Amino acid sequence: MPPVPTSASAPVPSRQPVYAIVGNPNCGKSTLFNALTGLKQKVGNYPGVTVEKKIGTVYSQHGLPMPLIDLPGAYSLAARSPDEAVTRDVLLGRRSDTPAPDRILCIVDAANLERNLYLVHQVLDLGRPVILVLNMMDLLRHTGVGIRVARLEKELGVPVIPCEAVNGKGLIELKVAMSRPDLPLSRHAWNVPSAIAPAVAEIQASLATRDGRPPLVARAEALLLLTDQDDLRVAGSAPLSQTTRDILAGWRRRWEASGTDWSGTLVTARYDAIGRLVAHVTEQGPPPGPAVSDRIDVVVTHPVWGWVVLASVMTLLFLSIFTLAEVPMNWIDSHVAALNGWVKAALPPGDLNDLITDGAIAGVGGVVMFLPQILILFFFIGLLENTGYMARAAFIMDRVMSRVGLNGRSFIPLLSSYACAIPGIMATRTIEDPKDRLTTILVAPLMSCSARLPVYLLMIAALVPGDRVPLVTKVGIMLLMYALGTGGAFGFAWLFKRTLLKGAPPLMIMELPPYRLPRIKDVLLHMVERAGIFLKRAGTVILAISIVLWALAAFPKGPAGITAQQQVAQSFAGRAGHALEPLIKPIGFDWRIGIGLISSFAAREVFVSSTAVVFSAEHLKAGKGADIGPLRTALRDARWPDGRSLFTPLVCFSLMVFYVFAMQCVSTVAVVRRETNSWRWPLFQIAYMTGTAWVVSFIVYQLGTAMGF
Amino acid sequence: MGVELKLSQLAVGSSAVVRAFPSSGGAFLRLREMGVLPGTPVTLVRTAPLGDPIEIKVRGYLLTLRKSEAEHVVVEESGPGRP
Amino acid sequence: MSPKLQTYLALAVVAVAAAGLVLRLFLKKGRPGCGGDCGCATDRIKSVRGDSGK
Repeated sequence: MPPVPTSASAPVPSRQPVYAIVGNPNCGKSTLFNALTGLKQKVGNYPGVTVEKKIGTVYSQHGLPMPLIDLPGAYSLAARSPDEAVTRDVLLGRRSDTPAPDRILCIVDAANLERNLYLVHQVLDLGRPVILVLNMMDLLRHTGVGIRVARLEKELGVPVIPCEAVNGKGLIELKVAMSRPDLPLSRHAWNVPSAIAPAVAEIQASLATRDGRPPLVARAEALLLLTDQDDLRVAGSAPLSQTTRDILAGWRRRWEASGTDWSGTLVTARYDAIGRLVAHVTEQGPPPGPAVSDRIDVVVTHPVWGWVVLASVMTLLFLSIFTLAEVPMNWIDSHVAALNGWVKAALPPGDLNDLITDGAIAGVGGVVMFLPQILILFFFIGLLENTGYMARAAFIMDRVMSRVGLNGRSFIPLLSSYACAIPGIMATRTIEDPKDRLTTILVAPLMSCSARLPVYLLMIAALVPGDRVPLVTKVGIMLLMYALGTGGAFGFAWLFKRTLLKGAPPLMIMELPPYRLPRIKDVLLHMVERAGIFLKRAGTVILAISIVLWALAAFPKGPAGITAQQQVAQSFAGRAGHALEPLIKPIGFDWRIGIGLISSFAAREVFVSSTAVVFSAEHLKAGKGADIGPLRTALRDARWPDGRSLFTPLVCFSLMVFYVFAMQCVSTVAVVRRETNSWRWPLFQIAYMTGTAWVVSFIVYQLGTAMGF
Repeated sequence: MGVELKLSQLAVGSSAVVRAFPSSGGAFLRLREMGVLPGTPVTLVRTAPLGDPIEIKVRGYLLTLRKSEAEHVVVEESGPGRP
Repeated sequence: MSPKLQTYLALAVVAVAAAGLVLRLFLKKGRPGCGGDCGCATDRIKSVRGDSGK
């Protein structure tokens, strides 16, 4: 089998070349991408697949813009997940929505050369100009190994740029290399093992003639097809011609029959070539002491201390949410109240006045107040990710997870669901087993997401009579809610894996990246980003919902002179709430809470807004003051028609429990529908979760009442 | 010539060389692509607090896999402590 | 601003808000992704489970 043609230069494109960046997970690809493109990034989706499409712009030496596609991290072009499938398909030119890039940046972790070069080896087969970026040179120094860059360049025939993306070192050299009008094609000559060579030739020919692949790509793709045992196809990538598929199937049958280990042969051949290359270009310095990461891991994954660390981390997180956020929360609260009072006085009384104050400001203000808490939550999660602790958490939790039939890899999507179930559900894409993935998706919303926080916090505040409540109680109740959600998630996962989604326990192969000091700048940047997103959501969706809710409560207008209570009761919202009341009375809720429950389907935190609208409207009209006051005073004064207090501690508790389990949030439903490609599962999810919510609330309320609470 | 055993049976801290591997199954292809091939030296670094999964050092990095996966990989022990 | 005018203005605002919400619902069906609404941290999630490297 003749080796790949050497030393040709790629034809100079008439426009700026389109680059793509590929690399293993954890090699610093994202950091490099961000460093190269700055804020000039556009994020979207690949049509038909739930994989993020990220394209940025790099400016060449001469100031000309060059598109840079950030392809999902992959260990190999033999894809095992939709992410990797997209990387493979884009590079092979199979996707009509994303033409194959002109040039490829291969980024490798210099301290981990052998494994990282496997992907590079495959990419070099494509015959396109490649620039090899040796990233994480700083970490390499710690290992005592040296890389002879010039030798590597000579062997591969491509520019090799050492880099420390975290510090920005090497970026200029990289941009210079990227700006070159001509880049050499790699001198990538290696021999396909003779056992599979005839098959490769045949498939290659078929791909070139029937599927229209350029010759070098045909060879690369032939190699992939022949040695990949379960070819993962994703929507949006063009299928192969029937001829090619037939040839492929024929060869596979022949190999199965003769017992040839066709895939192993190729992988071994590649690694042999890589091994020789690496030996030639690296030199071992004095061996370093035990790596810091290893020493940390001794504690973190210790049978006893590991759990202690995990529990401490979670407790610290929840404690911070309560203590650190107090001052900012009060600040926001008082300013919202002041604004409200000002508007109320500035405009003459009337519907517009009410809309702005009771509707918009009350609604949005109620939610924005929780911004500090949410920021702290995201900060912590970001910190944990950044340091590499999250992977250890998955490692530790795997045994527990597999008891309920899940993979340790489900832990991270589930943990992320504490912030918001939607990215958690999208993160399940890496879970290879479809039953596993579906189970994780079905239970992810049970992990109390950050949108529930405002509800919990409001109820906890209303639950306890005095202002001087021991912090322990507050934290305890919060933890209880989170524990309930988490326990529910695991419980249902176990149930589903036992019944509906019975399957073999999933495999787990995962890399543990070395620990690193958290890059606080990164974490803070993300936190600010989240603040922006949260506020945007508040300013748009929640604002709109609050306005509509206000209208539903204010219209139709009753006869003049009725009380505020009666006005709300006979409005649209009130009628909906009343219709719901018989269903929720047994769990201690009245029609006004019913309004809150219904509106929570738009977004859980809207419960706070709608409660603010429904209750403070009365509060104000009853002449209790010009400003909104703490919402909880309004809640405490709320009563049933017979005069009983509505928000008793028991009811608050029952309400919280309801929110732990109920499936609300239309956005999550939409994402589940998309990720599972059917309506069956999201509807099932709504049913089982909300049903459970009702039942558990019922038990709590009735039992509590019976016990005299 | 060292003792041949399953990867899952390897003692913590000891090193071995991979000898045999099942050839079918996507998971094993991935394992091989990650660098675990016949002839590759590996070291068992630790096990998770509950004994499963296990963590091995291969080609200079850390890889975790379940005991149930490691059971299919036959290795030949080469002695404790050698990287 | 007379009370009547206020009522009309308020209704207009409500109509706009409602229309906006309905539009969003339909746009969401077409466009995949949460629309950046929930704070999609897919990027960070990916780096956590180690798929697009940080």
